[in-house]
Amino acid sequence: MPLSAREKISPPYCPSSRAGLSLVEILMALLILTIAVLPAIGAFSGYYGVATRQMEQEMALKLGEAVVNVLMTTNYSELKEGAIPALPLNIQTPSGSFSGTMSFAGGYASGTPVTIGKTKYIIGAEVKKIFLAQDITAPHNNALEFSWLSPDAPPPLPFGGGALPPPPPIATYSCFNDLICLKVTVDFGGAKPIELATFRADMAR
Amino acid sequence: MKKMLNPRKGVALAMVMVFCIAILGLVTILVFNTRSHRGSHTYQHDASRALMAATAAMQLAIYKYRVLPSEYYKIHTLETLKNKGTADAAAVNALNTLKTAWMADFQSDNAGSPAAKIKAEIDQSTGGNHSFGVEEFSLVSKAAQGYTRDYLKIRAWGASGDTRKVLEELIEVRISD
Repeated sequence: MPLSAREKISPPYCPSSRAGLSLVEILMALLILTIAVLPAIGAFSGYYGVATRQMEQEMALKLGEAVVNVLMTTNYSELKEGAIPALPLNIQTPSGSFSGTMSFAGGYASGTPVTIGKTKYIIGAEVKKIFLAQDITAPHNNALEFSWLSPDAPPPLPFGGGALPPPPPIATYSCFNDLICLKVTVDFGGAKPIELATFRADMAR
Repeated sequence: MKKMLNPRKGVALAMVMVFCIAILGLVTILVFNTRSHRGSHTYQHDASRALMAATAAMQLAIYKYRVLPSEYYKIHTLETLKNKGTADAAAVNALNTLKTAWMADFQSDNAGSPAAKIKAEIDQSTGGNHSFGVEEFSLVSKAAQGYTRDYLKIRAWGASGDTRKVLEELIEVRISD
């Protein structure tokens, strides 16, 4: 059978001519990808923020511990009385060695701000007497008291009943030293500054 | 007939959906990781606070020994007798009583003890919840050439939140005869 002129000219049907993407398909793909990628960007941003805050907090804790260690080795009497004009701080940080000072005003101290990376760490300290030295001439109840028991333990109960519970203390020893609480605060711009506190006793005896 | 000859129709969308599911999977993992990191913030803070509490217990223990050494030597003498096997029942009872009383001052959970007052102060200062105490307080001797070295061995612990830290110190002491 002879072919018509139109059938001769028109190209044969080829299935691969539909292999490309239509505009609607591309737009839909972009829309779906956007919906999927946007929370991913948010999550990455949040993760980066958390990681940064964790590093800053860790650094603030290390600085706080370093300052507590400095205060634990400072002259006790001067520290207790707030008689230290300026306490040198030499702290090793990942950015290198930091040299600064802590300036005391009575029981409170503030340190030279430490800048590591983009974060500024502001150090503060407080020295507070929590036990006052006992005074024989004017006794008070704010001294540190250790209990004392009689070395003569109660006899064991008959018929194998075991020993009686320890008796209450029969005396107390009231200490003749002021004893202090050291508190160090490191503010690094986070929601809440780092606060560390410990106790220091007078070991001068 | 044409529809059947178009096998790639919808493949692009299917691939995009697969990519999206993969991305959402990654985001989920990231979110869970971030949450666990938030927990480690608290852990780090608690670890430092626990260390401070253990330091406080250590200071209190050393201070008590410095102001009341003879009280401790009574305990040490009785403990030596017990270890040698020469202590009678009364001596063992006395040892238990004295040791309990000696250690009670260091435990922050004992209401009215010096440690409890220190704990209250530290808690108030930092807004945290600390506890601390001393696990071991003993005198260990080490024989050297011609003399004996004595060390006070103190093992103190501190806790904040779920974190617990232990500090151990050996302090050389000189016992006068």
